[in-house]
Amino acid sequence: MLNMDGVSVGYGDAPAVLTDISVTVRPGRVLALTGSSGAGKTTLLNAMAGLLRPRDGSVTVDGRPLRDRDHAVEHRIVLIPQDNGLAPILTAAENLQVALVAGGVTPPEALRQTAAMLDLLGLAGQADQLVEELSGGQQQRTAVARGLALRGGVLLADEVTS
Amino acid sequence: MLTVIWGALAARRAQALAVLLLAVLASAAAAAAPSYVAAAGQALARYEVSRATPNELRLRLADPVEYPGVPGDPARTPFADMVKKLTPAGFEVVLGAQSGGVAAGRDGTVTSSLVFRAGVCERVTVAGACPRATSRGQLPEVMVGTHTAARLGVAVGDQFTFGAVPVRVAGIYQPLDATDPFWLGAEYIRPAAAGPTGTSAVGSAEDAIFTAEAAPLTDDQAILYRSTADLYVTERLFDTRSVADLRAAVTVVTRDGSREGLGGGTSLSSLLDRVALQRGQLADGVTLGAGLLVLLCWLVLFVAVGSAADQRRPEQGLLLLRGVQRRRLWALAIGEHAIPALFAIPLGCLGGLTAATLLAAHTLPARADVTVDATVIGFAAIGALGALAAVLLTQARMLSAPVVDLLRRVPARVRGWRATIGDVVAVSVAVAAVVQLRSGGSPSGLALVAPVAGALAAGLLLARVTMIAGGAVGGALLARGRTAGGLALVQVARQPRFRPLIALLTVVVAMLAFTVATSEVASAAYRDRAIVEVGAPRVVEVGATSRSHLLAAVRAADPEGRFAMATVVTGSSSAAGTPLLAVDSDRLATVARPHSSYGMSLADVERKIRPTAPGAPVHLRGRLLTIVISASFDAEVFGGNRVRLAVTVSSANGTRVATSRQDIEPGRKGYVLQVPECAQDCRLVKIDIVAPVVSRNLEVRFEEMRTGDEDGEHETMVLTGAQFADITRWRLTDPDDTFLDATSGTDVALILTVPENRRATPAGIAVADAPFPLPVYLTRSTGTPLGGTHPYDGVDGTPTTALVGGVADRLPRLGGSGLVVDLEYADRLAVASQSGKEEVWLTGTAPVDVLDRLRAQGLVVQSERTITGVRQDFDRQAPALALRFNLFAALAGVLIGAAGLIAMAAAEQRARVAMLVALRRQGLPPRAVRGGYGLPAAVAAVSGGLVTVVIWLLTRSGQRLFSDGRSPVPLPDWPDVGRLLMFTMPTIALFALTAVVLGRVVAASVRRRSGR
Ligand SMILES: Nc1ncnc2c1ncn2[C@@H]1O[C@H](COP(=O)(O)OP(=O)(O)OP(=O)(O)O)[C@@H](O)[C@H]1O
Ligand SMILES: [Mg+2]
Repeated sequence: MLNMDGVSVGYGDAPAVLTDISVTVRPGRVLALTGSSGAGKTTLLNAMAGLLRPRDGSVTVDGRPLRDRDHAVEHRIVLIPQDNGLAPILTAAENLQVALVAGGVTPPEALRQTAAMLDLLGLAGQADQLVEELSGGQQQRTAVARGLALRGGVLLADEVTS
Repeated sequence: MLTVIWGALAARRAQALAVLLLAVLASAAAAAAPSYVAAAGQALARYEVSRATPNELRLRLADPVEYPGVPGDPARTPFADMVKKLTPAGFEVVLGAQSGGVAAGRDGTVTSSLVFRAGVCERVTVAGACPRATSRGQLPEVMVGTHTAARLGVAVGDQFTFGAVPVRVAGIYQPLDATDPFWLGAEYIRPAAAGPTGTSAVGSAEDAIFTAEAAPLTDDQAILYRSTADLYVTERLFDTRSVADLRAAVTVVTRDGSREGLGGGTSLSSLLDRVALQRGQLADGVTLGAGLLVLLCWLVLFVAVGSAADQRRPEQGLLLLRGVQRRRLWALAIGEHAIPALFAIPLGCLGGLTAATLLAAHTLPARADVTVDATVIGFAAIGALGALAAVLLTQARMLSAPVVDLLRRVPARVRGWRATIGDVVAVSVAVAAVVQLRSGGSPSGLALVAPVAGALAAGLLLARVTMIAGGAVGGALLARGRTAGGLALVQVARQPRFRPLIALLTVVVAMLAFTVATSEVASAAYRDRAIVEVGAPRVVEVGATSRSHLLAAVRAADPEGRFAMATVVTGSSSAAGTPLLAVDSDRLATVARPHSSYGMSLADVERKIRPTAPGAPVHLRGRLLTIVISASFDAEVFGGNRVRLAVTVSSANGTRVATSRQDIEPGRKGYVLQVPECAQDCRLVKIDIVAPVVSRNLEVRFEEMRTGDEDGEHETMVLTGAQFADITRWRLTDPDDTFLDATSGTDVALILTVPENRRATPAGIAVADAPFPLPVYLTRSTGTPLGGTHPYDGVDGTPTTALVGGVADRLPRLGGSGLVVDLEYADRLAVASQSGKEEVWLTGTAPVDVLDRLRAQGLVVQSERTITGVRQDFDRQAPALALRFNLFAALAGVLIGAAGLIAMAAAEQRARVAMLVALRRQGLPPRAVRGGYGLPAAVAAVSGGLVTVVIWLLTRSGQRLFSDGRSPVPLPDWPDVGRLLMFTMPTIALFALTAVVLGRVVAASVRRRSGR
């Protein structure tokens, strides 16, 4: 369970982008966040993913404060960034593989899951193409595939349908 | 447009600066080569001038007419005017006049010349005074050398006559420096003759006698003189004028001089030839280093600017998208880079000059000035423009790529002919260069840069292999879950810009190793050749009155045979015969320097060439030699054909044939021969019966031999009839056609029979005091097998044969072809005085006064060579100087390689960090974050090693190490690995360190960006 309580976040010395935000993410529930461009959606997700430290308030995961992104990864908070966060010099499959192995899956199992997940998203034919050689949509689907493959407790997807 | 370009430069200041720096480097590298060649060319000329014979440094013009009078200053004569007219600018003129004749003093006479030579007074120390001009009626003043004064028995103030002219000794001189070209070698200061009274003072009694500017005589006709002018070439001339210029000037002077009727002569052209040859070789030699530097600079620009440009691809794409014309993009790209390139030219000239100056100061045998000239500027421009071309080439693909391609971050992988065109060109060039190099002859053009071309081609191919293999292995590692290693590999292998970088680093490592290897082999070759060609640590060329004098003198100077050995070398220059080395063999193993290339041990040679003699020498003491002979032949049939007796004797003054004044007549008779040289001691060589026509059988019985003096005193029996009759004492000089026998009983005697109708050569008996044929060690190259007989010219130049007692690959002093004999035996077999170069070989431990000891024995020390000195000489020749430049270039190449690595990393760091940060956010552990720059360094180490071996095998034979071509000693096939590693290991370590630092920078940046 991911919990935000009275959080305000911002970048550098600039005024806070978001102030006094409280969110609770419960298992098995889908939470949608909307807002105009520049409203602060990505900022909020970044804070939930451990990328941004809140100025005020607290972000807790299973009751304990979230320290940073690595801590979030440990608690299986998966992030699909708005820019996909794919490594351009890796193939679609490798992007999944690397993330899965980093998440503690054994390599053979990771290979299997990668293939299955790419197949699920209709990317079986593109598995061995470099990310740079994929279309924009394919790249986005690869990022989604990776997010799903990681089987996180929390999946933070930033505009995956745009 | 200019403002746009200026804007672009300002916006990308870092890149403009990088292009500027690298272009400066390229043009400096290009400019350094001609600057160094110019400086080293000067140094070479100075060095050659310092080693030239005096005759090679001057051009002589002589007045065709002889004038009456004492030789005087021709300065105000038409001859001097003509000389002034003919003398090319820069030559120094020494005017003179001379007259040959005999000087007669109280104590003796000497054949000498009376000489006026401008400037002589400044070059001597005089006891008394330099001669002054005298007026008519006064005695002309002269100065004589110390030896001449002693011979003539004159002191300052005394008189003697030269020809018919009485002269007064104003002073007795000694030259300050007899090696000053002013003295023209032996022309004015004659070398002392060898003899029992050795002296260390230069000169001899025949030294020139110098006169004053003017000394008019009452009877001018008593003496005739001829005016001369010596036109000296100076070091400065070589600095300021080309060899071709000087050659033309010499031709013109010689031609115009002979047109004016002036006699002349010079060996100047041989000096000019040598200088031109060395300069040519130098220029050829540094081509490799210069080519390497320029190529590396272009490559590194290609790498650095190319990867920077890659990062701007989307920007260019956007510009095109907005409708900016490609023409304008091109103009912008050219302008943006042409400005740094143009700036690079003058800066490169300066940089090149500085580098060349530093290098020249540390490597050149003589001082040399480094200056800017058109060639330097031209080369700098080529370097800079090449850099510009390299930059534009990197952008060409980008500027012509479709917009969609440009908008992507990783450049599309190039496929088809475009991908391989570069490799194909590089390989073709390399193949052409290597083939040209291996086709023989002296390398020129492309062949000079064959190693670089080969390294580049091999480097590119290996880089390609690396990229393919790295990608595959990286992919496999990622699949296996070895994320850290896999990422590091694919980061490099899937970034095409790394390919030229890997090629660059490979070329750097390979060329450094190759250059070091060549230098190593060169220095080993210099050492080996010096050892073999000199023979012993020190070799002193001496003048001796005879071979036996030489032997005895050296034995007296070193009675225990610990440090000196007498040696005679003959015919080492002639191509036809077998060169001969005659050594005092007991000392060979002690004194000569052993060398592995001889293929034999000196101790074996010592044993083999000096077996015990078959008999003892026959010594004679006394001025008269009497031989009692009973001849029997039909004098009537012989008619007018005389039969004569000739005896060959060898003394400390040489070997000579003495002939009996009386012809041999039938019947018993004592024949007397004059042998004054035997007053002290001499050795009987042989007795000849000279009968050009033998009409009937001729039989000669030798019954007795006595020596004695004119006054009939000291009569001693040398050989009795019985001793004569011991056939083992003798050897027939013509065993095929004459016969030897002995009688016994009361009329015991030796009988020599000459059959009738024998051809004209003398029939003789030689004392068998040396083995015949003489056992020798022969070089394999002559083809005569062990135990065979080999014809050769003996130590006295007369044809004879040798018994091959041993075969060697090479011999000291002679190299690949020749034979070595025992000097004492060779001398005993010799029938003439003529001899080769007389040398004394010395060990490094010879006492310091050894030369004085040799002089004390009457030897004249003429010149000295040492192994160290000869080795240094090799080290001062053009090929060695070129090698040093190339080594410098290769070391500079290492820095360029490191710069390339840094530039590449700097250009693509942002993209790499972004990717790693993204992966970190997906949970990539921090330890998997690596720069991946170690891969190019590691690959460069391995492929550099491979490429070194390849280019070494293909091109080492084409590397010029000696100015005069090949060494008689085989070059080592491989260099010393230790030294090789000493240079290459730090290079690889530097690359590795750079890679580590760059990796750390990336990791730190990733850490910052991912909040930890
Ligand atoms: N790295 C940053 N540094 C400073 N300010 C930032 C940074 N990222 C975002 N901002 C600012 O924070 C505000 C919110 O940005 P954010 O990216 O969260 O918007 P968003 O709702 O995700 O918009 P979009 O729908 O366009 O993605 C914006 O005003 C933006 O300018
Ligand atoms: Mg957003």
